[in-house]
Amino acid sequence: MAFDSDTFAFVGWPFASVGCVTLLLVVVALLAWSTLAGRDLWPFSHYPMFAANDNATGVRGFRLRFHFADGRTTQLGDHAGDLAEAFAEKLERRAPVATPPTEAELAWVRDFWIQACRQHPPLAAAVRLEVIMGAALIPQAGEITVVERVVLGCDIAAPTSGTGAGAS
Amino acid sequence: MLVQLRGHVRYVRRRGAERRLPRVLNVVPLPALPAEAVAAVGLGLAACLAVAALVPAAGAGPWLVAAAGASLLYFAQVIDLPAVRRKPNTVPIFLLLLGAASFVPAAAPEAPAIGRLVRWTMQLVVAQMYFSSGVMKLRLAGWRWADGATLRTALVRAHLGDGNRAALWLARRRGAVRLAATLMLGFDLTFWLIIPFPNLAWAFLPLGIGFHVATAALLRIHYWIYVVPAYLVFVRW
Repeated sequence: MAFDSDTFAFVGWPFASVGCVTLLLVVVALLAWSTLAGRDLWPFSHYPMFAANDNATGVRGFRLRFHFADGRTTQLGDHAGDLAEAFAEKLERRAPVATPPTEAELAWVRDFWIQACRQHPPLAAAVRLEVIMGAALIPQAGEITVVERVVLGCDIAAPTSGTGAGAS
Repeated sequence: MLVQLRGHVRYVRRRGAERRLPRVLNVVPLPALPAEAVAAVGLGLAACLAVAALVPAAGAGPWLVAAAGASLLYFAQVIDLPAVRRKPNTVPIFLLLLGAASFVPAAAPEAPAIGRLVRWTMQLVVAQMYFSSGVMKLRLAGWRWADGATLRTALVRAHLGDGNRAALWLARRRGAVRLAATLMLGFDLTFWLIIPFPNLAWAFLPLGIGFHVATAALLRIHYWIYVVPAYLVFVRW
């Protein structure tokens, strides 16, 4: 091995190959460590999604529904998954859900709508917003029962009015 | 990524300083960039890939390594998004491996062997994703995971979250959910066999695509965007 001052490189020593193989070994070690230790070492991961046993007998969820003048409806989750998740998380913290919505709550529901419109402009044509609460009973044996009802709603043309009603 | 760039930039603009960024290997911190810089990094990543692919004279190695760095920086900015999270994890690893391999002179006697090793490592990256997922299921829930209860609850939650009727339809069929859960666990734990037995690709790759299509349709989990292109490392050209 010799140092070539013109190219500023060692000649006769496969640095690129040695470096590449070293990198491969490091990657393999990190993959093995993530799997065996059950820990994330970003961007290496142990991928624990849906791994924990979840046999809940009752679950609930929230979603924001948009009504259009021609009768069509669509959901926030259809157009903005991250917003839909943030929306559901915010609703989960609201208790009790049966209480009438406050002006502040109607305001942040409209705020979600405005944010959703930025991601999916056709939502700006919506005429009514509804917050749907769904609850499901998942028995060990027997049929899954799902009940959904509108817990908060407002016409966008008249945003200060309207409360929840109805069931589906 | 270019299709999602606008959405990612809007997300960064909306969340601002609230974002929590991961550290590379849990050690190296990354800066929380403003929306304009995230757009620039995303476009830079695309440009690096374009140069690496389309301008052989430029030498792919430096561009791929730069793309690997840019992908780490870019995806870290939006990692809290449900559509991102762990899904693009393979991207920087693949780019780094390809970049490093590109520095090895094609005329070097060890080049073919290194090429095979890089390909094998990339296959291992994909296989580890499934195997680790299967191991975690066994570790946290045991073989009971295959009874379908966890999957059923996930499907019901998906329905309540976005009104997905197909998810509820499947959740109500216990036998089908149990079969799907058993197949998923079996797939996770055996996908690695594709490496020593490449002929199994004809069975595992369609199964994998079907699995990702199903999780996209039923649970709105879109791993396929990043994972299905990675399946190309199992295809013999």
